[in-house]
Formats: sequence, structure tokens, C-alpha cells
Amino acid sequence: MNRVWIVLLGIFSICIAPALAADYKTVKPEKVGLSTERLANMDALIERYVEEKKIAGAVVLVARKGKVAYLKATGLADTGKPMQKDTIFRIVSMTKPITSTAIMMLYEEGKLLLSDPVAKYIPEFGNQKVLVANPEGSDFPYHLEPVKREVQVRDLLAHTSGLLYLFLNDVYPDRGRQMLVDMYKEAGITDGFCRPDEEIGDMVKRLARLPLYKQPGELWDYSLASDVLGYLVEVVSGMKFDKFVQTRIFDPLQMKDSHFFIPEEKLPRLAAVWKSDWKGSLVRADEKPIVAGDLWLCPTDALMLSGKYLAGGANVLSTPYDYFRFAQMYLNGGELDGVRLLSRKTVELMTATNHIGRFDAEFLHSKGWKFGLGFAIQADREHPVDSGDVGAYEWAGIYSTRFSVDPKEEKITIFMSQTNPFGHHFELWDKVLVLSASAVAD
Amino acid sequence: MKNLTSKNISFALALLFLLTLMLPVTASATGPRVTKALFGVDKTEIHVLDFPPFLSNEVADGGPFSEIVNQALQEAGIDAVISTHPVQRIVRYYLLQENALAVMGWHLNFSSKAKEGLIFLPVAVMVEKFYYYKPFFLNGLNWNGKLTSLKGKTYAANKGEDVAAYKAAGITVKYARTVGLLKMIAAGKADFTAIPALTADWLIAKYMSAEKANFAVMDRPAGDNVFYMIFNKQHPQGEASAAAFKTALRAMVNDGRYAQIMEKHLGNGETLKLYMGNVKERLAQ
Repeated sequence: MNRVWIVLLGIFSICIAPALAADYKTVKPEKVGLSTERLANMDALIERYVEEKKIAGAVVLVARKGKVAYLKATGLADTGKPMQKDTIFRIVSMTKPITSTAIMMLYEEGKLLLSDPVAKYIPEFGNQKVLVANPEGSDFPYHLEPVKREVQVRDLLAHTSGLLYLFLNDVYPDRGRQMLVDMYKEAGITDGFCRPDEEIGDMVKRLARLPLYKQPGELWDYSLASDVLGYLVEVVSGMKFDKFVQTRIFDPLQMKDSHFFIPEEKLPRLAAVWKSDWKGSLVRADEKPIVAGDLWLCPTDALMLSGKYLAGGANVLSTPYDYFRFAQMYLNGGELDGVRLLSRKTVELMTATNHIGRFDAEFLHSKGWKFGLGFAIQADREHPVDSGDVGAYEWAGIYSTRFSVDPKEEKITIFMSQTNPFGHHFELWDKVLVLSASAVAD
Repeated sequence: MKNLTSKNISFALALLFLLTLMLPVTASATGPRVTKALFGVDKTEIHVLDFPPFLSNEVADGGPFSEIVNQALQEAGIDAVISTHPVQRIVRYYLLQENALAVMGWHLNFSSKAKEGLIFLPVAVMVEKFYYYKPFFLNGLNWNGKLTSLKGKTYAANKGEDVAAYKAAGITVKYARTVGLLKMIAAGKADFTAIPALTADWLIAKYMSAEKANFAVMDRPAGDNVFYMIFNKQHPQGEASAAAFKTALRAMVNDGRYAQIMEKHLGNGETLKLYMGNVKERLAQ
């Protein structure tokens, strides 16, 4: 009889295993000082955007005091496939804080200093020049000036390196930027949103031998710097970047659904990308690249089961719950469930607001936001803000994914959809943050 | 004595304080304590476009052209380093805007006026082959030695390449950097391109390994191409350096050291013959 029970129990366990994978532990909001009633406003908000066909679907997570109090999947992940709590998303630039974490772990091990010139590890960064546009009508369009100081590791973390992203060429029109973007293209440099068939180190070595856009430290410009950091992890650790992240970050934090390349058995859980005009026209993206000016996106690259290119700025696939665990590690001062990745002092350093001096991190936000060593940080209340506390930090992914960590309220908010173009969802994210903050009830 | 010492210390401290006020203070809390530029030898740079496997940081000793040129420079008493770049326009910039001593390359396509200020010395004569993408030409693609036999086709050309003959033969021309040429024909945006076989092999293996079997070579070579060292007459040492380099390179060709370096990198088989064109004769011209 006992044997029969054991066999039945075994069969039962196997049958429910996939369901358990998504059975994330949540608590009653009131247990962590949040209001169930007020969080219900989040349901209505997301449902409204789905009904209006602005987005196909989304997963929203709100956690406080280390516990997930709200985790809701709404709408569609793909045609005929409902969004699930464990749907896997292309988190793209939300890869960057993970890459920064890897670098800061090596920093804590004494393997590098933030003030080290990058050329110490990647010689191609030595003797760099800055492209300066000559006045219009000059015989030659530009000249090159030597760097006043070399690009340092901290410049890459804080985006003050003078490197560029090609896609921002349309956002910040400028002659010098255009000339440099043309050089990037000629040299086969891409933003990494479509995975090239080469090693990340090959791209980085070419990039380093092109001119910089500005003197290091003399601008804040969101860029390919995190991709360089990914390669720096390889050089300093001696491990492939994906292997380092898997064994040193994903495994210890039990981020079981976070990958550089999706395992085949998880393909059915990958959300599709949807093109939305935010006015009711919502179309599932096909296999063709999505091209808008210098922005190239390849949603189907996420279906690749293997490949060479490991972009520290773009390539991770993850779930809201996994990313919650990553963010909670930061909120806890560098540890989660007894596993410490970083010290409290390093987390404080990364989330400090004085890394970029007089500059503002004006890309996702307006003035009043600074950039630390991996995140944008709300620095004041003097500028347009709808919610959040000074000291809250966040970042985003170009397929409309977001996270916010509010240390003062011990609160994490995560929103993930797969909607193109990126800019539309900003107002929805602001509302998600407002609703998350207004659910605080203690 | 004790009072005198205290006075001296007070004076020194006051002086130090005043100096602190007078000297500029850097805002940088961290940063490189030592820069290479402070202690590095100020060597002349010779600029060149990446040209794997002949001249690249990614191959042993920089590749055969790098080793030959470095040796000739050394024998000519020219203290210079080779600086490789990923785009041609930077090479041209250093030559024409910063009056660099020299650059190296092929397909640089200078204007007649610019050529007057330059001294071209051949470093290697290479046979190029025409490549095409088999899936688009199931019955193969060939030419009879006359470009008109490829009339109506599209040629993928290196930026800066002299394409007058192609255009005259009724061939459409599109431009790209070297790996882009292969990608262009693989994407069907061009029908054929001319690349040295070793470079094509290297690029396909590195960037397009999955498509290796789809690339094919036309039977008849596309022709010879010369890889040049180009000295700048505008540089104070340009003409003298060119003369010294030519003498040194000629000596290396004559005494067999040139061939030895090529053999070291390319072996002693059929491949070597493709890149051992008549440099001696070209140097004499």
C-alpha cells in the first residue's frame, strides 16, 4: 500500500511540476503595509490599457518588505495565448544593472578599481581620440583631439565614457554624433538589439578604436558602455560573460527563468512583441526586424537557443518574479535569502547620486534624475515627478519593461510588457508607479 | 633653537596654505594616477585599416604584412608603430588632415591632387578572387576575363575602390566594408565581390561560419591588387623615410627575408603564390 502511495505521489509531483514553477509565493498586501483595495486599481488600469488595445498584455509585480504582495498577469502574451505570471520577457536594457552587478562583484574581489583606465584590461581603449565637428563649410568635416584622460571603468558604469548608442542619433540630432554614428555603421558596430554573429569582444575592440563622441567624464550619454562592461567581465574573470552571470548571479539568487539564450523547453513561455500606435492599432510583430531610423530591433532573436554574442547591455530574458529577486537583493543591501552578492557599502556607492556631477540622466526622465553605477536615481522633487521618493532607482528595457526600487518604502515595482515603440508606455509606467505608491497603507 | 624651529614650521605651513590657494585644484577625486603618455616614447604612428589575416591585431605577429613592414621600418631607422583602425576614413584622416608620416592600405582612391603629395611603395601584390553566393546562382557564376561578361550584375565594392571599369562594363556597384561585402552577396543585395581568398576565408570563418558552404569562387582570378605603404611628402621626414624604407624593403626582397616571412605565415604551397606577386618589379618602377 505504501509503495502505491509513493508511486502516486511521484506521478502527482511530476504532473504538477510545471504549475509549481509559476506558483510564486505572495502575501496578503496588508501584511506588508499595502492596501488590497487600492492595489485593485492596478487591475483596472492594466485591463483598461489592454481593452483599449494599447498593449496586448502585461505582468505587474509590487513587493514590499521583501514579500510579493501583488503579481498579476493581464491580456495576451502571444496570439491566442494568455499572459501568465511566469511569462518570459526580453528585458533588454534591464540587463545593464545585472552587468553592473557582475563588475561590482569583481571590484569587491579586488580584481579591478572603478578608477582603473579600461585600457588596463582592454588595450584598444588606449590613446583614444575625440571627434570634434569642424564648423560647417570647413574643408574637412571633423578633427580628432586626444582624450584629456582615459575612459575609466566608472565611466562605463555611469555612462560618462563618450561612447554612443546608434539609435539615439535620432533622439539627439547633432553633426558630430551623425559623423560618429556613420563610422560606427561602417565599422559594423550595432546596438546589440539584433544579435550579430560575432563575439562581443570583437565588437568592443573595434568600438574602442573609433573616436569618442565627447571627452570622458564630460557628458552623460546612454550608450554601449554596458556591452563593453560585459566583455570586461570576461577579460577580468576569465569566464564567458553568460557563464559568469549564470553561476555568480542567476544561480545564487535562484533566478531560474533568466537566460542569455532561452532553453528550448521554455520557448512556449516567451511573450511576443506587439507594435502599438497607442491609439488602438495593435499588431503582433513578425519575423522581420523592427526598424525606426537608426534603431534596429530583432524580436525573433530571442528565439535563438544559442549564439556567440553576449551583450551586457541587452541580451537577457527574464520574468518579473526573477527580476524581483534581483531587485530585492539590492534593496536588502546586497544579499537575498542568506546569499550575499555585494556589500551594503557597494550598493550605497552604486545608488549614490553624485557620480555624474552636474549632468542629469535625461533619457527616461526629465531633470532631477541622476545616474549611479547601473541605475537612474531620483535625486530631487524640484522637477516633474508623479510619485516615488528621492533615492528611488530604476531602469527600463526597450520592449517596454520597467523596474523601480524605493528604498525608503522598501518597495519594488515591476512592469513587463513587450510593446513597440518604447516611448508610448511612459505614461502607463508613471501611472503604475503612482498606483504602487498610493497602495502604501501604513 | 626650539623657538626657531616652531617659527620655521609656522612659516612653512603658511607658505603651503598660500600655495594651496594659488594652485588650481582638480575636481576629479579618482582617475588615472599615471597616464601612459607621461612615460611613453612618442613614436610616429603609421595608420592602416584592419586587413586580416595580413595585417591585424588578431593574428600572430600582426600578420605577414605587419611583420614585413615592421622589419623594413626598423632597418630603415624609422621609429614608428603601426596603428590599425576599423574604418578607412580614419586612415585617410590621419594622412590628409594630420599629415601622418605614412599609411598603408589598398583601395584608398586618392584624388589626383592628393596623389601628388604621396609616395606609393608596394608592400605586396595579391591575387583577388571573385566570390558569389551559390544559392542565388545554382548553375554557378563565372566570367571570361572581360567584365562585360558580368554585365547587368551588381558588384559589391570596397569603399574607396576604383570601380570605373565595372561601371563601364554595365555593372551596378554597391559599397561596403570588407565583411559587409560578403554579407551583401549573402543577402542578395549584390551578386559578386572581389576579395583576397585568405581574407574571405578568415572573415567567413569568423562572422559567417554557418554559411561557409554557400560561398563560391569564380574560376578565373579577378586580378592583381597592390597593398601599398604610402608616405606623406607633407611630413618633414616623409620623403627621406620613403627612400630609406624602399631601400630596406628592396633588400629584404632581394635576400629572401621577405619570402621567409610570407612563408612563415602562409606556408609554402599554392596559397603563398597568390600573395607573392612581383613586388621586386613593382619596387623598381
